[in-house]
Amino acid sequence: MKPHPQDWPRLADIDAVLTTREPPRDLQLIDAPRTAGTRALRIDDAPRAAPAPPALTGTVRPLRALLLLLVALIPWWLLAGHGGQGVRGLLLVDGALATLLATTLHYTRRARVAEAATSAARRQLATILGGMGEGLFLLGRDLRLSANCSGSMARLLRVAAPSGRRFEDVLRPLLDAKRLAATLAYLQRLLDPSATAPPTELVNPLSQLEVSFANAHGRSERCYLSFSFRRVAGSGTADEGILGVVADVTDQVLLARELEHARADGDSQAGLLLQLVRADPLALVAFLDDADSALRKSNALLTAPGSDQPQLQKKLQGMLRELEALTAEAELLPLTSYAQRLHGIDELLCGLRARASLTGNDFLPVVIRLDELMSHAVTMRSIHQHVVLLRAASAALAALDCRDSPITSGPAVLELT
Amino acid sequence: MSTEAEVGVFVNSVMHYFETTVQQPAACGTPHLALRRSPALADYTGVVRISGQSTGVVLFTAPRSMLSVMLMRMRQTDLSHDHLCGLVGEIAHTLSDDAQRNFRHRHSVAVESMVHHGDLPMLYPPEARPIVIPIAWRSYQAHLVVCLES
Repeated sequence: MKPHPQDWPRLADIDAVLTTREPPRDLQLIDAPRTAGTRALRIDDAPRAAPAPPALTGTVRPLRALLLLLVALIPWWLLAGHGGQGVRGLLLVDGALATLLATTLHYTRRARVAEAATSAARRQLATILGGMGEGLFLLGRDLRLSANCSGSMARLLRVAAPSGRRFEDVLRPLLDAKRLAATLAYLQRLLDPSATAPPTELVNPLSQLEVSFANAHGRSERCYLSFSFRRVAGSGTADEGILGVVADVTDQVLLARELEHARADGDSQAGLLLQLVRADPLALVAFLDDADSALRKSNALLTAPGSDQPQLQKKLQGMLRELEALTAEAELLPLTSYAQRLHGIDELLCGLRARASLTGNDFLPVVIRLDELMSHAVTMRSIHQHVVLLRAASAALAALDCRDSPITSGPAVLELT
Repeated sequence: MSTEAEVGVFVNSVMHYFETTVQQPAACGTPHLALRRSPALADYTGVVRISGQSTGVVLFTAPRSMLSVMLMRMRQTDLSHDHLCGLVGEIAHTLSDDAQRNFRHRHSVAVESMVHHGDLPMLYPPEARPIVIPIAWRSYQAHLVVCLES
């Protein structure tokens, strides 16, 4: 009995199968279920480990249709052979097999091309992630870092392998408990779809984070990190996450501080001028001479050879003695800016005195402050000289005025005090 | 006027060089200011000239004997003048690299030259007070000189 024509595969279906032009995004050969006993192609949009999205499974239909066609042709050929039409049946089977072979070869080639494209894309992604200066990462709903992070994450956070770790564990060494809790609450709120406030209005606790890491010499190295977070939507709720970026902003922060320091210096220049104008000129010059002498003596103590503990302590005590008298004198005049700087050195030296052991390098901040103090003294002397010249010029002008118009009586000398 | 961070970078750089390349750590002596006169230069000096927001020089100056022992420790048998110059030059390059890495936002750093005993005296910025950091290694003493002006 011949199969009913309605049971045969329709040519339109076969044609549709063979003329499918939509390229598979990622073709991957996989083992089909054991019951099928053959191999099939699966199309996978995500990396290989992830299951194929349901929307793409329809692309598998051509192969299924071909297999069905083959299965349907076999009984028909057998029946046709019994009916004495063996040659026609043989030709049909040959045609079907050739079609199957051609289709298989076609899809195998496409699979290879797709595989090469996927490999190239993966390499490009790896290059991008590896070459980024910033740390780029994705947090899942469980606040766990994704498998793919940019290469600089490990360098910035000083974590060997951040991928896949809980974000909380990565942050714990960098933050205190309070800030860590605030950060986790912020991230949870970012993920919460029912949150009323827009995510941009939430305060990011990690917008500027000061951290200390040990450098190659074992010393503590301070740097500033800036994290920014943004919620990203996936195809489903489970796919939602937070895209995070972390960058080292140490340069920017230090520059901003320098700028602030320069501004403060500018303000203090006006204060310094006022102090110098008000100070007794003779006492000021005497103080500056004494200060120069004391600072040179302090420096000479540092120049002396010897780096043993007793010798270093001796240098420390000598400097404290020299600067103590100078501080008292500066406060008497009063020269506030100079006294403040001296107090700064004094605090440094007292801090060193409290230490159990000293090294020569511990004196470096003291020397820097000493240099700064000497520069300040030079500035003071220079301003004072200008004030003296101004006073002399003012007095000369007043004398000229008195000689030219003896009737006029006005301010004789520029009143600066 | 140098800042603590700037000078600290150069000190750490030299210390790290001794620890890693020479494989024997050096000790930092008490730093001080070179007042009234320029710091004395030893036989060989590597110079890093810095320009940008701050200008100045950073020197590593060491006696011939110290450099020779350093080379021997680094398993070098050629102790010729060229090799000694090369050694201070390498230290200068190390200083330069660390400076470029740390001060990239403020300075442009260039290793301008290397000088040795008999050359012209080093020129410092006017009114500058160079900071001299003694570097003690074995029984020898080198000096790191940092002179920067804003």
